Amino acid sequence: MSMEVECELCPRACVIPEGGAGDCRIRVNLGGRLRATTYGRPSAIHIDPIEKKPLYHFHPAERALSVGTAGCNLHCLNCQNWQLSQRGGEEMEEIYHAEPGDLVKRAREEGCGSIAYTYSDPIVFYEYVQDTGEQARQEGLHNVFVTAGYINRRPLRRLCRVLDATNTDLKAFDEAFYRDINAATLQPVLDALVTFREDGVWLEVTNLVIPTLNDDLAMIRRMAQWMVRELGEDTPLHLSRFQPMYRLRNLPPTPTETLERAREEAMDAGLDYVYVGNVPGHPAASTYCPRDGTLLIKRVGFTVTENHLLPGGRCPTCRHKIPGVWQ
Amino acid sequence: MESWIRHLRSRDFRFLFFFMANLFLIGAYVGSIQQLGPSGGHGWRRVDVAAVERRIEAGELSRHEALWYHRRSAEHSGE
Repeated sequence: MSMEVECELCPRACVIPEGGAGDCRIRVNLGGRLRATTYGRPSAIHIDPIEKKPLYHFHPAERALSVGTAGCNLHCLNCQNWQLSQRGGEEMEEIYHAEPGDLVKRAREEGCGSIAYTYSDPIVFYEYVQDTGEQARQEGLHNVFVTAGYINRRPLRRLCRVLDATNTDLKAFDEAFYRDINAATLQPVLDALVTFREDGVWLEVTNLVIPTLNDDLAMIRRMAQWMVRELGEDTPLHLSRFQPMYRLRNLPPTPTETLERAREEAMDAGLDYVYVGNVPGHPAASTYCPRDGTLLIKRVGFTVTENHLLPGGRCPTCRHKIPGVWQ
Repeated sequence: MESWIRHLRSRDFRFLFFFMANLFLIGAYVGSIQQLGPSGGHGWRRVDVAAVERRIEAGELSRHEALWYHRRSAEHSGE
């Protein structure tokens, strides 16, 4: 009897011998059964503003209990959480014991409206997300999924039943970038974005703009055009500034001008809500009505300083309905 | 070339030994990293199973069964 198992969670389709782990490091074959070894064992628990995910059109100023475990199914050269994501559970110095019910209880006690599954990629702690998500829903909490989207369609559709919102990275509109920088492929991510949209999960997309690697304006335009066509012009896009990190310390931070030009390209392609991220105080971190330019929500960093939206999420001057989940 | 070799001194041999030892160590390190990588193109990784089991027994990791996998038949495994 073979003791090998084949994982079906993500496109890597790891075939794992007994005593081995998937590429993500934390799904381990013990005795011919695949074990999610970080279930209930996060290594990062914090309370963050929802804007940090970033989610700008989902319950502004809400607090999110944010949780992540070791492991990841991508290996991005610029990962800002590499000390968590590029390690297995057995390598972590700090591991908390937090069963799904514990997370829900803590979120309620801390006055959080959401639980965010983040830091590494929550795809790899799928079961933990699903079980916590079900309990969170019963308690009236929202479930937020911060991911790179490298997951197969069937498990994603199942998980969407408990998800309320996602910020999903679209790292580049280029297969070679995904291969060389992230050790992944592009198409499954595009499929995941469409699945989130089809299954009614509120979707915002982040593109981290890295100088010389994915800052080509023509590519950004193609990416925005695809988003308009497949996801809708009302899907928020966050163009985020890169900071040298992990194995990409040789590159400079993204110039603000590059982000601003990229934003212009994306809006010219038809997207209504394009934000500049990780540039504190930048005016393009605030939300404006796409019809008449009225300032709707002002943000400084992750803090909402003004919110002029009418109940129901409408512009106070022209009554245009602003897409999002506002209540 | 022959005259160069004839004029090598003991300190040159020590340098050559140091140089070759460094190449060997670099090669061994690179080789050990490659062993941690996927095997046979199927994406799995070696882990310290003893360490995983110890941490499970200590309650620091979990034995929770994963969803979304299947056992490979003996035919697929080449047995």
